[in-house]
Amino acid sequence: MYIDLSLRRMLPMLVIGMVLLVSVAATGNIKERRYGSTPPVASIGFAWQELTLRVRYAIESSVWKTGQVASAAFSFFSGEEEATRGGAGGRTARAIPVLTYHRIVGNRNDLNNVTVRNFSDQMFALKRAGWETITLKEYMEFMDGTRELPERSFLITFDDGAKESFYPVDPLFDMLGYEGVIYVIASAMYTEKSTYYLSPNELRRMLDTGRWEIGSHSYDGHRPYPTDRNGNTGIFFADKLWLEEESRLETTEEFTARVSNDLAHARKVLEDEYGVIVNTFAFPLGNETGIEGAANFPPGAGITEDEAEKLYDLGFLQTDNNNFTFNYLEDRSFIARRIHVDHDWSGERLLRELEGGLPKELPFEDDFSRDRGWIPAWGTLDLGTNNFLLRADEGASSASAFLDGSALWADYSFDATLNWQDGSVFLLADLTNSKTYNACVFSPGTVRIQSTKNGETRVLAEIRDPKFAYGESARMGIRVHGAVIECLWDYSSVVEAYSRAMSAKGGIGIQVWNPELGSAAVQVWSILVRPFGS
Amino acid sequence: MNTHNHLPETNKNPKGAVFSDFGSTAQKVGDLGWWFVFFGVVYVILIYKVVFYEALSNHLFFGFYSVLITTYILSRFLLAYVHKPVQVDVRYEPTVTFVVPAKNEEAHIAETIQRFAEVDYPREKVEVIAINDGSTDRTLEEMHRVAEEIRYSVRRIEVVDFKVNRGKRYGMAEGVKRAEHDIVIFIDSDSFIEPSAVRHLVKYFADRSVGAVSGHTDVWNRDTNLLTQMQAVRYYISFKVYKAAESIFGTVTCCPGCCSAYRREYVLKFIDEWLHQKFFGVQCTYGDDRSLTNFMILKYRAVYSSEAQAHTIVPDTFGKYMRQQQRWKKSWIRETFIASSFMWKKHSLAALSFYSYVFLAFVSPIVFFRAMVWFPVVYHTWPIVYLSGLFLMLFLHGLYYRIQVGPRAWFLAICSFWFNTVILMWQLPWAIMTLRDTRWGTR
Repeated sequence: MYIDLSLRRMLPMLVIGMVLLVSVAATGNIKERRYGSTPPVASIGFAWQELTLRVRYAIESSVWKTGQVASAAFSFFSGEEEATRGGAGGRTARAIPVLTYHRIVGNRNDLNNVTVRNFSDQMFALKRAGWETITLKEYMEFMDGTRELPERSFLITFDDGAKESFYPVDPLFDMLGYEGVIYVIASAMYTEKSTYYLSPNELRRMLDTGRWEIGSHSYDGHRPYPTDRNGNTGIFFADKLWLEEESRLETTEEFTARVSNDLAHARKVLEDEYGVIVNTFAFPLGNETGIEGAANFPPGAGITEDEAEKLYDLGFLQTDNNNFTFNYLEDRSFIARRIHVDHDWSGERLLRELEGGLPKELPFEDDFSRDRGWIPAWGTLDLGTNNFLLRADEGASSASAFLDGSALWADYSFDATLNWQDGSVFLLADLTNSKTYNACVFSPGTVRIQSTKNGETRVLAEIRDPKFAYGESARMGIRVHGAVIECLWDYSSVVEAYSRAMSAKGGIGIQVWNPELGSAAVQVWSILVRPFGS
Repeated sequence: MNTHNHLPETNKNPKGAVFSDFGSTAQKVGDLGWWFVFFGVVYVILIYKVVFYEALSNHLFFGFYSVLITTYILSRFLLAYVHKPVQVDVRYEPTVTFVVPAKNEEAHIAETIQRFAEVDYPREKVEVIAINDGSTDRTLEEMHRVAEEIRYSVRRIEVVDFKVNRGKRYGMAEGVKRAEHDIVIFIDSDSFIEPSAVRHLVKYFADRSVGAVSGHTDVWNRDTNLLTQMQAVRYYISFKVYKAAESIFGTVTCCPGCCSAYRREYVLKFIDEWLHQKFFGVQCTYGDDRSLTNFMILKYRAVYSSEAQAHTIVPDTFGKYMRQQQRWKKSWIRETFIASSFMWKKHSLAALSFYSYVFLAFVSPIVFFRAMVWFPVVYHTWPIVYLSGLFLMLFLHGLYYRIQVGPRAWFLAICSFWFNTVILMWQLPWAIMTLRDTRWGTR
């Protein structure tokens, strides 16, 4: 045999063989620790994405920081004061916005999820404007009134506990110093070999970074469940489910027990698995009422909220167009609202949402040269570039918009100059949501004071006078102070009511109404809101 | 063993001495880097197998194939690494006879024969027999001219002329019969040997159990085009790695005609049987070298001498290459069939290697079909795993080539090899189907 098995010849091979074996074993070990039961190929994909993003963000941030230093040096030498945006210096927050994301994806055609590119654009935009993330703990303490936070503080949440909520995001958070909360579907994290959901090992590693917290997104309430014998499906937390063996819908007691069990089980599983406190809950599918038209149990969502409140300290729903976007210290409740970030929002757009939602100071003046945070509750609003045109949608008789960030206002007068050509115009004050407010209603020949609570309207006072007539620049106003609600025409008070709640607080809004469907419209030139007495 | 023993020579200076390498530190560091990459690729291959094992293990047969082919290839490198060369013993100088059968080789035959006069061996121990196998060009004329030229540099030179073409096998047999010396060295009419090759070939014959020695053949026209570059890599690897691995047990399955030495005494015992070899009733007219080796290793040993350097001209057009490969594949099937009947008697590791290779060769077209046709059509999956795995393996071979021979066109050659696998993979089944068709047997 022509073979050389001398030690001198074999030793290098043995060493290399050992090194290779150890490397392969170590690789397997690292993979298990970092990626858990994720299929190996997917692990490589995520590792690659994480790595490339880290490199990319490191480059982007060094470019950005160099730019910052350069401009700071420039303004120092040229003797300029550094212009800080919105005069943020030292002010404390009175309300906190919470953002909802799901996954951060590569595919641009995904209408539910933000792309990696848009997401980094959004985060960079917020960071540059001085927005900083807070932790869940900080949020809770703020809401309890035991902690002060800087004015531009926000919370980022990601629903479902998907891998794509963590791998594309963590490198960016690491670089920006941001933190996030992932709402985990407790049963889904045990999906073996999932390429979609984070596995326990991944969640553990995520929590170990210190940049992440978790909350409960139900144990197994995120998927459709049958609600009749034909296999139609409904929402776990809103509908009564179909019991196949007994051929019937469950009873209210069964519904309550099922919901309560799931909520409790989710919390217990998450707390046992990760050794952290899980005291917040994000309602799956963000939905209070079930699928429209298919819901079989209208009180269901309310029961779920009550049951959740027994088990958790905070429950998140999505915002809708009827509410202020931020969560206010003053009206802290179990339910908090989140802003759903749409897939096509640029960084600038998201920044505009947050800046527009910031609590506003009085006096407030708006010439509509840009969007200062008006939210159309219903109807269509053309806004910006010196225009405010509110129109009813086709087949509707009215349109309504309110000003985000005005929720904390109390005792003020709200004057508007507008182009009034038909229908009735409502000036809203003391607005706490789009269906709860006091209003002055201007119709040809009539001005009325109304109080609306959850959509139920009461007329408080009325005056008739032909001087209330259409005009290209009609000047209307509403004044609220103490128990008084006044309506103004051409800057003078024309009617008063005295049934206002003494400590009422709330923002402003504008509505337009015309019984001829689709025709209601009003154009506002400018508004001015002044504190009462000035 | 110094890896720089066999530096490549340039084509411009084909007869020049082999330059010795000074082994500068930079070079060594560079080599170390390449070795690092080499073992890095081995690591990646191992990881690859672990990663995809689960997917493959769903199917026992294909899982087994996957593990076996990786083990087989990696173990070839390991065996080649521990292959021990024999030292030249100047006291052992058997007489040698160069046998060159040629047909229509007027362009190269002179160079081939001239080189016999320049070998580093006592001239009175060198004999040359050139056989013209019914050439229709000036091959015979060239033979006579060169014979005259070198007649004083060798002990004896003889030109045999077959008036009509009888086939290479008859030419080889004629050479063996006419030879007066102990060791017969077959050199193809388009191959050229290095002066040092003779000593490196004969040194193995000191061992009486050795009946055949394969030299190391490189591709002479490697820089002609991508096809020849690809073949250069293939030749290098199949000699340096695969033949070396076989050589450990003395079971080299093919001592190729381009440069191999046989002990005449042993060859004479079976030369007529070999000459009239029939396979399923059909006269064997190709794969003469593989067949001769097979007769030899039935009783004796065949080894590989990596220091015995020669060069050969390879096909430079795709059509010629395909025909050559087809001829080789057919003889491979025939001789493998024969060898299978006795290989189990050899060293267990040699037998295991042999039967593993046979298994892999027959299964690989099936695996190829499954990955490239069946799965894409039925399950709409892309054969990414298969193709990247294949590429990794070829890349490993390319790296070895790069490390051993220095900076040459290796990467593109590997890519082209990768691409050609699609075609080469079907040669085996095709060869089986056309086994009885001997028309392609002649060039």
